Amino acid sequence: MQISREKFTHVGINEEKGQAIVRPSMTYWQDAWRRLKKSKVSMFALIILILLITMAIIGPMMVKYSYFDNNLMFNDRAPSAEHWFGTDTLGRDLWARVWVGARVSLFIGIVVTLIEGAIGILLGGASGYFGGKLDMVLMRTVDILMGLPFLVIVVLIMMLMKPGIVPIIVALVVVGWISIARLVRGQVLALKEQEFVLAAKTLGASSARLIIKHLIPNCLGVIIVNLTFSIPSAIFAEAFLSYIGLGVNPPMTSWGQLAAAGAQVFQTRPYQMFIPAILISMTMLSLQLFGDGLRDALDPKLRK
Amino acid sequence: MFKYIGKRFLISLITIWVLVTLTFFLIRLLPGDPFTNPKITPEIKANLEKYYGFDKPLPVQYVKYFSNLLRFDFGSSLRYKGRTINKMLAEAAPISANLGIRAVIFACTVGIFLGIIAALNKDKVLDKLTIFLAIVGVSIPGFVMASFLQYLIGVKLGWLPVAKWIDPARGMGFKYTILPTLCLGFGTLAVYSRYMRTSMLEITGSDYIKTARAKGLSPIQVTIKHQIRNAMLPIVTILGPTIAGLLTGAFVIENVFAIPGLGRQFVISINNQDYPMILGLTIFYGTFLITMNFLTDLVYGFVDPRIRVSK
Repeated sequence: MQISREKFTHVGINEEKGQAIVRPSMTYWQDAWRRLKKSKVSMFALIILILLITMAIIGPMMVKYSYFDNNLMFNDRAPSAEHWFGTDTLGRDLWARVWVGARVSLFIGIVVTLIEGAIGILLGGASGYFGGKLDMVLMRTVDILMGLPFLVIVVLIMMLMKPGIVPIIVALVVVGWISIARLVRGQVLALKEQEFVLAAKTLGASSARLIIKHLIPNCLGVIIVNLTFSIPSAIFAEAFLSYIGLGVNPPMTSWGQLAAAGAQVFQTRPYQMFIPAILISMTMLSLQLFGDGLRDALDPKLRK
Repeated sequence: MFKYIGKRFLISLITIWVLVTLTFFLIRLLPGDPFTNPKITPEIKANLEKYYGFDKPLPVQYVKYFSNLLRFDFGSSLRYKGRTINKMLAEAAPISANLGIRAVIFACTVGIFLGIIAALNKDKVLDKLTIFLAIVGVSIPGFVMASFLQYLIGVKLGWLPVAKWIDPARGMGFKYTILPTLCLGFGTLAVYSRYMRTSMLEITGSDYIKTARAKGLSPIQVTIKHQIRNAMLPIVTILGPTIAGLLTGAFVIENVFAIPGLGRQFVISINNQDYPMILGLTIFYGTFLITMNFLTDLVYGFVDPRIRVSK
């Protein structure tokens, strides 16, 4: 069978169509957000987190009692219309205390994470980028610090400074920056060798530009995911410290301290422990689930 | 391989030294001292300080303490006269170890088992249940879970004793160990099941599994001989940190259940400001952990030949 040439026409290249952008262009972050929105579990966790933060801000203002007003006539009351979460052994309103405690716990979790993130990114990044002696010294230090029993060191630092929020933050940062620094160093080491960095270098980019424009944005995803998981561990560590009596100063309180105090009277008045315990668990759970979703959204390499 | 072991060993030794030095000076910096008591006159205080060697300059004390340590002498307690820390350690360490080993065994076996089950039933109900359990396990503080179980099983149902520790070797003690083991191991169990699941799933698509299948091995053989064995490898790396976690977890659990182990002693000595005791316990704990981490690295080097080649 013969097909004649005349049946075909030469179309040529349509420049305009070839260059047209079919789908809206998206930055990395828009893309990640789009993927994150699709994950129902992550969105649910995010809503719970926003709710918890909102309650921490407005919760204490919703009742006429403050977190330190005590009325011994009304101690150990079960939750009622008057005291929504009941009262504690000293007759303080637990609703007010729980949300003030939320402020403290969340504040500790977030501030610790931000500070250790900053230190970790700075030191880990420098170590990975410049290498050489700096890297040697830093990594040997990290090796040694990694070996120290974390909570024991925190306890020692807490004992050294007077109990309060600042010592908790200092103690947790001292032990917490290590893992972030290690992670960032590993990321930078891997990225440094990639072609786009070489291209930027060839074009004459300075070190500062390379780090700020190319290296940090490219490992930010992994860092953010890890920082998400560091918030719950800070809240957990604070609860542990409160339990062994090294937490924030009364009458100031935190979830850990409320749960620890509740554990003392748990057998007769379980609500005093259950409320803070459920809130801690809810926060942990949401952060874990949100972190998981974030990892899937931010790190395309991990998706299969 | 020898270079790798040597390097790890050196780092471990330095870590122990840093730990001893750091804790020694940190503790001397602590505000307040154990002799603050209205009954103690300045003369008695001076005598006490002389007795414990606190009147000498810090560097001298440090050298003395360090040389004593090298002879495994931890000094004596400030709070309980005539009670040496060695004796305290000898009493408390076996109890902690007993509980710790129970928890490790419980957490590892159940955790790995759950992880395997979850991976084999990926995206089915069993898998989802395991993931849920794993997340719950890391979301509840130890003392909360302990108090809750104490109340539910100990008080309400009366199935098991609420607290106390009786040497399990003497027959009657076993039921006292169940709740503490459960509480201590639960967090770790959660971590292990998650790790094992991921590790199993990562292997599922690998070439050697395909080869094994192509050879005509039955699915059970492939799972047991190839998949599970290889999936266990990454688990080994977290054994060291796991034991660390269990030990620090024991701080809380031992206190909740009134078990006279190291964790309880630690908390008691913090409240007593019993410096030599805190120092001794910290060093003991630390050295143990560092040794465990070193051993983990060693074991990993043996079980995974790839490590030997790359280092």
